[in-house]
Amino acid sequence: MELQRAQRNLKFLQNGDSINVTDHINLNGESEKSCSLNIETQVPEAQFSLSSDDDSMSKQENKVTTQETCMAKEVIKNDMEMNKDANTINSESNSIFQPDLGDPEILEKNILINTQIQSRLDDAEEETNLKLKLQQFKYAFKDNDSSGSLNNANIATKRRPAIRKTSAKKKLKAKSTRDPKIIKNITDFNINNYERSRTVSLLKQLSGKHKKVLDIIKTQNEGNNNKPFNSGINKGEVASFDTYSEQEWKHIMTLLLQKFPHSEETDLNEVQKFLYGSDHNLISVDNQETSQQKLWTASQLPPELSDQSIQLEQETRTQNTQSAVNFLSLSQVMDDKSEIIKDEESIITSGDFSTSQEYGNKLEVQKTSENLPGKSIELTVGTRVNGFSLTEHTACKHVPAKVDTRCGNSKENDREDISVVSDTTDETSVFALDPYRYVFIENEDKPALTTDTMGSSQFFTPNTSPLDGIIDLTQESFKAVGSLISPLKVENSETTAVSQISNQVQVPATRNPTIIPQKNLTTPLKKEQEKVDTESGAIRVKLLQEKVSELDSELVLCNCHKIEVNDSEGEEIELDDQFCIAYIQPAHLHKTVYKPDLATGININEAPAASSTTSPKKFSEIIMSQSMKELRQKLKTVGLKPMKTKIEIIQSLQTASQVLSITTPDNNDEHDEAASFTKMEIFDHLTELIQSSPDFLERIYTFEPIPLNELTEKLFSVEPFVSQIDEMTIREWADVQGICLRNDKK
Amino acid sequence: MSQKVQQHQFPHFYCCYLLQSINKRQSFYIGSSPNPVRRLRQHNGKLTVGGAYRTKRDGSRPWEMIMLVRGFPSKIAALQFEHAWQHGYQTHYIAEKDRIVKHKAGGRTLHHKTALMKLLLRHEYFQRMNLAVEIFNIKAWEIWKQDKFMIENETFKINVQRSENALEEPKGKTVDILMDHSDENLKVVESIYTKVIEEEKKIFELFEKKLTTGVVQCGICEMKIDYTCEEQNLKPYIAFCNNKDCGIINHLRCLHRYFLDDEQIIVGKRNLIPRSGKCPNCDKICKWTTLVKFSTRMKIAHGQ
Repeated sequence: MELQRAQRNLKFLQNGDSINVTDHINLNGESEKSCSLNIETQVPEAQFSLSSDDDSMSKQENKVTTQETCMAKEVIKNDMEMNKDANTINSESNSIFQPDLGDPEILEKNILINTQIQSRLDDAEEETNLKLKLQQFKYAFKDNDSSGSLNNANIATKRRPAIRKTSAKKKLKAKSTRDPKIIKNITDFNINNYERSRTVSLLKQLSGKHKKVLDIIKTQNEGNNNKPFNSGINKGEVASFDTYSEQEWKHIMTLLLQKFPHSEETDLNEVQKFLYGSDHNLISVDNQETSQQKLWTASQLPPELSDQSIQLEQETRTQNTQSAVNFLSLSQVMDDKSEIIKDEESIITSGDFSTSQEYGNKLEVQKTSENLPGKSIELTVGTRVNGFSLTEHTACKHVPAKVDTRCGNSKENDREDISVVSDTTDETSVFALDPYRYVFIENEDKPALTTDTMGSSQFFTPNTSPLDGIIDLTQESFKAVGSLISPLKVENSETTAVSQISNQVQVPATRNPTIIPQKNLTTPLKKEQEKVDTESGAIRVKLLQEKVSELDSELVLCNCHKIEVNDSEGEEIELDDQFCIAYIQPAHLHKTVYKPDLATGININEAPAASSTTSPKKFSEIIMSQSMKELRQKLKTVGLKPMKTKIEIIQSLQTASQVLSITTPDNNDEHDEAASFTKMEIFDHLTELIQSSPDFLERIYTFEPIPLNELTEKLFSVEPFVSQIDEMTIREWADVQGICLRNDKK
Repeated sequence: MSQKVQQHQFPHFYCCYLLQSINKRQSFYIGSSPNPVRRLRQHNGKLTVGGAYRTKRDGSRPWEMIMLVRGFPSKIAALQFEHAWQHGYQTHYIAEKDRIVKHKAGGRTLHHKTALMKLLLRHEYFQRMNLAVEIFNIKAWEIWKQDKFMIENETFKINVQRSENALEEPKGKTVDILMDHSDENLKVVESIYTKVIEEEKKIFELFEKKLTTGVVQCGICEMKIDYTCEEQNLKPYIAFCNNKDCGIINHLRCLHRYFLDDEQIIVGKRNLIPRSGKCPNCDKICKWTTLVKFSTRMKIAHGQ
């Protein structure tokens, strides 16, 4: 509870800081400006009513009615206690805070996070204030009534202390001005939640890159989990904050502590984490300067600025590429967690999860390369703009060069020999706001490696199965994905020609969002740290098998496998069987290293041609792969009750298929059956259910009209699955079977 | 409730009928009744007990019952048919693509009325009931035969018959002619009604006789059936073969299974209600509705 309240509080503080600042001034410096007084006089009416704090509730009664002495005393007592607690912290924080007090405008400016948020908050504030004012009347009325009925004589005495304690109350009021914000926070919370989900879905819909969005969220989520304990509140620590400066944070903290004197440090840590994500990791990585570019600030900066950070990141690069990734918009960072969880589920159910880690931290850009004699080629793989690390950058450079040397002898072959699959790491995927993400790989003077343009390249989302990465059929329509994938394949031949001319190939990371979500800015995000992966920087390469044999044995850890895929639409079909996938790991070794790829991973390159596998995993995958519209349509055609969420629909369909498969054991192909069971099968199943109860059957074959609800109850008692069958389906079935239905017995 | 308190019984004569105003020939009325004769008199005001609001106004009286469909296994089924017939533009018994009446205001001719009836009878729900159509008017008969909307075909035959003394169109508009016509029509309807009732009563009495002998055996499971005793479990639903020479008695339950087994071989799947089947004794085809009709009546009359 405490934490929740604190979170709410903080959330508001995030935004409605300007008022806080003035409040704080009142508290600490006791510089009673007119403006601050105004706030006192205006806000206090609303201040207590909605807070769940018992103290504040009692305070409210007191203040509104200013009648009950004992209560007032109690409250004041409490407040004094709170003040004590707060003051201890204040005294510490005051030193830091002092400069800010001197220039409150700047502080305001600093804390001001987002105009959109602010404006929204203001609206909410107005609204809630109005409500609270009204509510206050209610309370006042009540109190008057009660006190009046109890003892009228007391009123006079009761009023006195209230007057006497004005000075104390001022403080109280000043503090309690935060209370309306709590309320606002609730609404704000709702708004944000709504906005969040909406933006996510909007982003997904528009970009068709559902996976990517989810990845962003997920990686952040992981980062949070990785660093559960932050040392953020240590006073001595000079930490730099992105979202808030240290002073601002301190200020927030003090406010928090005032409000919740009993809250423990861990709670505050949690709050801080909530605000900053695992921000302190980054600080601990001693990238003080880069921290400026973290989160929202980073997202707001022009791309050029982040170039500076590359140098800094380079140091951490060797350790972990992901750790340096801090360029998240605030909205991204705070994005919806539930979405992630959901998605993880889907990933798990869709199988191939085991391989996901493989891709997780590797640079995967699949490139069908062609030989281009006498021309230097730049292969763009990464991004400078958003701080793609130089190490990786250089690493990428190395790889193709080496590959080039090996493959150089196959110049005469104009067909696609090599495909460099460089896997964009997690952090690159995080750069949702950067449209310019490319990785450049210079080919020096070696002409051997010709990289194909975007046509053949594909970036795969980390921590996901390849199939998922390609088509995020989980939610969005097929069309959006089609635009992502099919053009790549189709363009293959044409773009090759272009690349031959231009020499420089730019491969846009597919994970770049095609839109920059404005809405995201308003949603709070959670930041996180990515996992350290020793294999970071590995590059996935698709090579012709002959070429693999030509490669230096040192570099080849394992000769990977043949690609066994039936690509129905691609043009590389003929060549596909000659390709193999290899992992090159240049970052540490500075030479190419081949790692075995999992067989399942191969499918990455291919559009998920419906596999004929009959395993349940595959089945669920197939079901998951359908869009909401398709699923709804299916639900309708088979005659099941309409469901709201996709999971429900899938569950319904799966239960149906299970139920039907039990009754018709001759149908062995689970997948086929599940995908193609019909309304008639449901009818047959219902018929069988009735046949199992002779009494009911007798009533039916004597044409006795049977109430529909009785029939459904009977069916349900035999088979609970019936509850998921639409009523119209049952009626239809009854018509077919000649069951005379009536509405009810009355 | 209704089942316990009031045992379900196959009605003796539940029908849906089509009235045509003798005075205004373009006016029609669709209704349903277990006793069309009485109901027709109500419509025409000859029987003051019982409501007939719609057929009272506008000088549309007297009304002529030009056709009816009978044989509904329950009142509910008849009401369903009536409602569907009245609302042919929206009933789910007629597929949207087959609808000949698209709007509420449409389909006011006799052609439409008969076509709607045919469409409904074509639905498997009503087909199963083995309904019979009686036509009392030559003009209506012609229209039926004409089948303007081409609903009937080789695979779909309706059990329809024109009553022997079906009426011509009224010759004039004088009150006497109208009243005479109305009386004639009533007679025709009555003849059909009484004929059906009488026939079924005869059969029923025949079956009763077989049971009065005391203990009989189910022809299939050979278990005892005794409708003369007081014991309930000896008085289940029983089925009588229609063939007078056969006279076998079965449990309706046994015969149901027997018929379904046969039907399953032909159709390929096991339904809940068989349409008909061959008597296990004499191989004569028995309609399931007929079996149930007498079975339920027998049960009501003596089975409890």
